[in-house]
Amino acid sequence: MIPIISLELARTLRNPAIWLIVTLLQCAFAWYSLSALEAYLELQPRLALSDNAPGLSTWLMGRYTLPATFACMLAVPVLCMQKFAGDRQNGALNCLLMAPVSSLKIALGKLCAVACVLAGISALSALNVLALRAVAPIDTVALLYAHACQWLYLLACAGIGLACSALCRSAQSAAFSSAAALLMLWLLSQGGATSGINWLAELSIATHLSRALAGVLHTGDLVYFVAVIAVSTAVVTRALENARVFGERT
Amino acid sequence: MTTPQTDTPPLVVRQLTLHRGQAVIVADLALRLQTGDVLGLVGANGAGKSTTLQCLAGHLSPSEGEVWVAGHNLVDAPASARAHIGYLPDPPSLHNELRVSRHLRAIASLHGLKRAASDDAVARVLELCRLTDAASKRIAHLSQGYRQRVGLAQALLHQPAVLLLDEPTNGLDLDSQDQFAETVRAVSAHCAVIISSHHLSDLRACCNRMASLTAGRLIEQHNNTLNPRRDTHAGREPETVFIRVHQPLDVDALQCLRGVVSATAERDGWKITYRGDTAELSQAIAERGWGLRQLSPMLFEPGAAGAKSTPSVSLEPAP
Repeated sequence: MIPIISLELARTLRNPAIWLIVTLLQCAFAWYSLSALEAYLELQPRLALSDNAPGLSTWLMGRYTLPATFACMLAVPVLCMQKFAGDRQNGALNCLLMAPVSSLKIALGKLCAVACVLAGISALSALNVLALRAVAPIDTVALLYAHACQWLYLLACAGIGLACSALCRSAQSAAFSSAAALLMLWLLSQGGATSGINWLAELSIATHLSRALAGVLHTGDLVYFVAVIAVSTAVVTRALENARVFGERT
Repeated sequence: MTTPQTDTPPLVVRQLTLHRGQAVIVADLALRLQTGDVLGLVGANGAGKSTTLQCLAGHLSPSEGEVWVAGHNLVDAPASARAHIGYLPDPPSLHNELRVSRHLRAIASLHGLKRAASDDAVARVLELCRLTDAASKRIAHLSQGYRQRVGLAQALLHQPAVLLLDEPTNGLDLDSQDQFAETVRAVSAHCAVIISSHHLSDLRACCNRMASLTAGRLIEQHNNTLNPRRDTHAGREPETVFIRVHQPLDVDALQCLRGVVSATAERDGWKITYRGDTAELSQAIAERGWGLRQLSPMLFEPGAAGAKSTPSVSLEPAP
């Protein structure tokens, strides 16, 4: 699996589109963090008068990490679309399918490579708020925990993105279908809240993220994220097996 | 690194059949290749050459039949069998973002070669495929001919027992085609090779066995007589070719050409039975200024007995 991760990382880092996405995300992170700080400074005189007022760290976890994670989620379909669908279009997927490597290893290798890129993006996101430590007291552990949850959430999104990529014939349709699937899973929480159907909200990926970002990791949330990743990996593996049995049509 | 068992034939195919719905893509194919065999698979577009190679490469599961590669069943132990197969698809499957050497190193590591062995293997195939000068170039910037060479280098990296080449001379100039034939002859000492092409002339330069496919059926096998290195027959079998020229000709003019056994006028050309190298025939026509427009082999006499009605002819030797 290591050769596949290494190969995929090498290919990803040579893709100019990835660097453009990271640059845009960094701009978004900077904007969100400074906006959250500004809003906190405006409210601070009033917050100081109330009991149990949120500290800067708690404030940033709600006002910065959630929108930053949403921005990252929008980038996931673009990160994942090339992995199978794009490779299928340009014929590069055959390199892996012809190699003496199992389909599960290919699926996990690609997922791990995307996980490494997402870890870098989460680290970048964390650095934006941790930089504020120079001027304000910040709970480093709480923010690192929030970003670990963000990474886990993005990994689940990447699983869905890779599954769409493995099932689609073109990179564009993979990107659109995974973006649609992720937005639908995000909006399910709104639908569940307005209709009062709890199980609908529980299916939403945003519900589990919000709970995780609140500072408490429920076992149910962890199981949800791991289940999404496992099911997506199974779908990818199955799609690759089908490609090996019925041939890869480019 | 893959080392086939010494007494096991590199490739044994038994009753290989592939259905897609009602259509039969490959029918009842039987084949046994030994190390040193270079089988040319010729056939028209859509005859099933690429599909057959995909089946043999484990890139497509057969509906029936067995494929054994260096003693490993391709269906039951696909990973072990694939480790002994080098496959150059058409078009070659490459990572365009990477440089040639990085791409080859990545493929070597997928085949389980360690760092030092991988570096050695990459250096070997770069030299063998004359890619040393292009090693540091990005694959996306390479010409089609160079991409074919990278594809061939990729197929040879792990020293496979079976080498499958699908239309390998596509996009190669004449010099490169000669070099390609030389490379195939060099590597065939250590493996069995199958080359598919719809150009008979491409295959004759390097093959010692020939088979033709029509609608997925292996219907003819004849010894290649134009490869001097491998020619074991004292005389040459006459073959039938179809030619079209710009100039109006008569039978006498054609029969004056050296090697022509007979010539018959067809609707828009000539059917010639010829004993010798077709390259020499085309050169002789060119020297006479007749303006050669087409010279193609006629593998099957229209309506000849056995051409279509005969089921697949097994290339597997009788027990």
